[in-house]
Amino acid sequence: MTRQEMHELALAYLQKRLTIEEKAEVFRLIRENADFLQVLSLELTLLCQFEQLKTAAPADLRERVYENITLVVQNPKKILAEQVIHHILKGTMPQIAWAVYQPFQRRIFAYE
Amino acid sequence: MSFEEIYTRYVNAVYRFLKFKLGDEYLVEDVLQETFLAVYQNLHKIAEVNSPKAWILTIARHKLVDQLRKKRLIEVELNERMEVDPGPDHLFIHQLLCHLDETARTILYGLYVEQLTCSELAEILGIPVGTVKSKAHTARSVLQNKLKEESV
Repeated sequence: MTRQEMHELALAYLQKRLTIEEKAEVFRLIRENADFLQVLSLELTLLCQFEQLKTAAPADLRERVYENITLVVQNPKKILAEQVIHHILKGTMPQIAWAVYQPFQRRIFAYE
Repeated sequence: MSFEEIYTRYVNAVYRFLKFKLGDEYLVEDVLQETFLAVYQNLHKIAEVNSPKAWILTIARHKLVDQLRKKRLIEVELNERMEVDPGPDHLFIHQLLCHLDETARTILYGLYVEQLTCSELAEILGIPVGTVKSKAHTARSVLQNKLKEESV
């Protein structure tokens, strides 16, 4: 078994994606192969580090995006209007004002 | 599967992915919306794909690239960066990932956070499976060395 295969097996074990036979192979490697134990330890460390990135989308954002999509698909004319206004404002507003306006744009169209 | 079910099931994964790649909360929201709008418009295709998650993340990646192109144009015009959410860069994992290139970072993110397979990552990134595997292997070695240095 190559080092790369060991990493893949160790990660799959830690992520609980193995069959009973594969798990038995992992237990055998833990008992008999010191290299595999090292690999398993590294995979556990990395998994714990990456765990910090497992965040959920804020509830308000989830709802807002869903509502906006529903609006778009239910009223394509409104979206066309939004795009026209977007282009007009982009061409006429001073650039610095444009940067300030952008974050509010979504809300204006979402809640109008 | 209805759009609502798909949205509920994958919104967090797409949000996380975009947050990881972009950091900026406003951009994340824009790209998230564009991604799921495209999913809605192509809903008929979902039955044909092997992995809905990989398919949606591929769309998200394309939308993200488009958005970054637009953003760069605006930044050039402004000649200054917009005020952005600094993101969770204080996390040790971000410091570790700084030592990797963008593709390697995305591969490890996909493997460890989203539990994606190498084939799914190959689909998302548009690269061969062998490249995903070799990059993952190299990236692990780099991180292993960095972790050793940190522990000394």
